[in-house]
Amino acid sequence: MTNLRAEGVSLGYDGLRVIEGLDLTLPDGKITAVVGPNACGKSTLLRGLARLHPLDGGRITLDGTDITAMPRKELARKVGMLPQSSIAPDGVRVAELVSRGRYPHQGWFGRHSSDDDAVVTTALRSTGVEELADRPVAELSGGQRQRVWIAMVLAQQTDIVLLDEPTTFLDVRHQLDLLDLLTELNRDRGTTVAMVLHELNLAARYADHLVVMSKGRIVAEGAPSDVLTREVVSEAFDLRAQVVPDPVAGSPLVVPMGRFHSGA
Amino acid sequence: MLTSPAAAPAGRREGAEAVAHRARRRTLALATALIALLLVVLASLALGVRDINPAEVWRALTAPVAGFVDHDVVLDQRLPRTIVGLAAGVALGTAGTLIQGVTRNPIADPGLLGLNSGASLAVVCAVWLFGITSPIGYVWFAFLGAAGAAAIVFSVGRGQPVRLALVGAAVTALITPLITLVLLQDQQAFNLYRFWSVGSLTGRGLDTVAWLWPFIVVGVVLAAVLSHRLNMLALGEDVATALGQRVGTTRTLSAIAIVLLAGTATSLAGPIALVGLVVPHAARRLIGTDYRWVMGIAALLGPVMLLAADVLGRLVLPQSELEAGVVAALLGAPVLIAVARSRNVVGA
Repeated sequence: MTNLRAEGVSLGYDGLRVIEGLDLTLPDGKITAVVGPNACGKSTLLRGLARLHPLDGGRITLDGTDITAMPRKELARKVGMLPQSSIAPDGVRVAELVSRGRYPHQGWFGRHSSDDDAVVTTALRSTGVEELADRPVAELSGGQRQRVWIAMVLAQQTDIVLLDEPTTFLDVRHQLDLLDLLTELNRDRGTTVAMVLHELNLAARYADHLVVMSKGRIVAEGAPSDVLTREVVSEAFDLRAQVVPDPVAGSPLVVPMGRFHSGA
Repeated sequence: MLTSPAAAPAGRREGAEAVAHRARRRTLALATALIALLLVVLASLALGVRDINPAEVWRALTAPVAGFVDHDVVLDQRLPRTIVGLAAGVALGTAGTLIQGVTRNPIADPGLLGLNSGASLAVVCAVWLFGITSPIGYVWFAFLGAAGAAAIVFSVGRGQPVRLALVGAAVTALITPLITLVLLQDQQAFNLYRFWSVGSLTGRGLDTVAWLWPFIVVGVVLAAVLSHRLNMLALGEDVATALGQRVGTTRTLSAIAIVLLAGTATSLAGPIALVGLVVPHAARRLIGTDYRWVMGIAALLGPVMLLAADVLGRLVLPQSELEAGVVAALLGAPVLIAVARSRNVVGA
């Protein structure tokens, strides 16, 4: 198992600090969800963890080793990341896209081995897109496409998978579908999953470890039932809400109140 | 999970068929490109004001008879321009593919990034300031000019497609009046530039190629090494980085290869428009999205297009000849419009 940890991390853009001195350890083999209002720094934190964003201070370690001291390809064999900005080139087919996840395991000209083929086939199968292998990615629905991207990250064969808002452009059914898929990967393979999510209630339901952020710092973290209280929601989101047990999963369910609906 | 047990084997079989289909398609594309190249080379040696049959072309190459006009035409006139066309064509096809890949911009080419205008400015300055008129002399200036423009465009553009295009346009807009200024000062520069700027395979001889071929070799080898990196970069800078690629290195090496290739092509044949733009699109049509194959096919199709343009120019206007650069533009524009109209414009 591999352990990804942020120690006193500061991150920012062009001199503007977004995160200052933040500590976070992703629990091994668990699902972590990071939630928070817009511009709270949650995506920046995830990008920092994946070394997509340079640190202004502190360090990020993988099993105790500073990740900036590792060759990028070595890091990419241990930590996978699906950023928001992924682009499927026109005309690229599903299997071809997924096979690009093998890049960190390949030499300079990317010669395909039968080993690669086996990994790609497994990745296609475990994300349920095997039948789509020969279809152009551009022709797929949003939900299918997101599965293909996850298959690509799986083909990377990492112990840790980070996902930046993987459900954002999906309708509710496909959001559940995707989170079920990630849960399955976590349970079947023991993959450590960490993701930024917008939907509070789904985060509370699917995460083992919930991190609530606001203004560049962690407001609360821990088991969702401990963390997601009325007070925390109020502090992080500046939102009045009731928190009740989710009738389906038992996890906390945030029911927001507005100016016109404030409940009994 | 969602894959039912019954569907899985069918999926696998489809996959195997697709692999075989792809292999066939690649073989076919490679064969098509090679045959096309062979045909245009032959046409370039055989066709012109004086048509020479292929058997005689072969004899001229293998056992030339001194003083025999047909053989002299092949060896002294057509062979050099064919070799210039091959060299410049390979360079343009490869450079165009690299530029479109690294900028993720389907309409990028050496012209758009300001490389051609940089080279042009350096050449007219060489003539104006130092009185250099021999190709061997101003070749190096063309190189420097292209490299200078590339340095500005790549450092300011920082790999962002739109920014690169804007900076390229700005650099071109800045340089063009400077060129005009020099041309107004210097009649000699004007005469030389008028001919050079059109793009032709006849201005430079084999001695220029003898000087420049190592640059093309280095550029092509770099392009081959970079092609798999471009596959990752096509998925977005973040994905490429997350997959373990040092994107900055990819950009720097690409810029070096682009300057080597586009600089050489411009030195050899002048600022030829559209070959570097159209050829990568044609290559993608033939072979798909994998840059390792697109690069190879584009390297073959570059000289096909350039030599075809040159031969057509000889046939259309037998007495005065139409320059290859003009014909390439006339041929390329409709192809480009067809590409733009089709659904499959590849953005990366």
